[in-house]
Amino acid sequence: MTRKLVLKQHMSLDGYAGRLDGDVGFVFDSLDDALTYWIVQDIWKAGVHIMGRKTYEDMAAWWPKSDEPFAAPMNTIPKAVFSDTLEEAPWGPVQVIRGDLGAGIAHLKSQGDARPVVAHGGARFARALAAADLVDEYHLITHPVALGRGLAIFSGLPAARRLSLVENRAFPKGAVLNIYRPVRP
Amino acid sequence: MRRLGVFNNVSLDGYYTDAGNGLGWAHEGAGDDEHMEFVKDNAQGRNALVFGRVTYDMMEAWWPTPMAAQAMPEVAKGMNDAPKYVFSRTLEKAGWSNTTLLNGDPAAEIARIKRTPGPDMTVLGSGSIVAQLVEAGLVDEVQLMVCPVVLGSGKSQFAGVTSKPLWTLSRSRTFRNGRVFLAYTRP
Repeated sequence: MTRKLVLKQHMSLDGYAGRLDGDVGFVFDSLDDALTYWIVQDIWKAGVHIMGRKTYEDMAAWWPKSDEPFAAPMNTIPKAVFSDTLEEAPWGPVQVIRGDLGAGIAHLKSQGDARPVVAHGGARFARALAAADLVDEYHLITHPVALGRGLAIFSGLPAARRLSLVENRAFPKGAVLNIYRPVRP
Repeated sequence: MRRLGVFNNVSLDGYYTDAGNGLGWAHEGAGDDEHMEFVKDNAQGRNALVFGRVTYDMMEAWWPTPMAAQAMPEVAKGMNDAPKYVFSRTLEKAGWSNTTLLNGDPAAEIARIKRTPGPDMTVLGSGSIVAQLVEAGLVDEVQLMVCPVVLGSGKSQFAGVTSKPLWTLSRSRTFRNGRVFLAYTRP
């Protein structure tokens, strides 16, 4: 039995994961209590949190000293960071996975219990997961603001791909959660 | 003051056409009576329609034809009867019924038309026009029918906008065919 890979991704109304400079401040105006609660519940379900090097370093500098509701699941649940260059990984529990992304994901999916592997980005890591069709469930949170230009996470796809909508929910400040699964033969 | 809305099918990565201006992806797997009914009702307002030249050409090549009248009689009648505006600096005349050709700056023209008496207006397709009108603060409502497909590349109707209002989500509805309708109004 393999466990599924969930990509949790905030997006703008026009489909971007962040501004071109990586700024993701657009999420905060519509991150209301109900959405915060939903995300906290969602990330507590994870068996392991995965991310690219830059996101790991950003999170390692933030979550250990944060008292926000996301901090406990991020600090408590094991993490895996995908990087060929990261030398020190002080924020644990953590494993560093080097080399081929697909092999690394397959290895993670084959381990542990049924709790999912939850991916947190950044945009480049999310783009690589989507392009290689490694994501089993997309948890997309669309915020009610258009950025005009930004970082796309589906731009590595070789062709259009259909998904099926499994859950949809709107939050008080206008964010919308859509959960999709890839349609695979 | 006449209100201005936008209606477009979009992929879940935010594109209203694919990279080749194609719209076929928006209609694949659409078969769902409730969704069909919604689209029909939504298209049957008494609104005037606003287009850029590319979208106008596609629409004009289909809706006035006998094929369209046979395939979707009510929608075709609505499209043909509606007052229409097309923005173009190259078209010499607009042959589709009830169409006014506009060759000025879209934001200035729409700002002027909004102050004249007449029905509310809806932009269909026409991403570059939408982006200019959003930027100018003239769009009162954006309606998205989010289709369960990722295109990977395509055209965005918000390309290059720099004004970033936090829109108000005023309506949302989910259909069995996986589409999600979202209506955002300007705060």
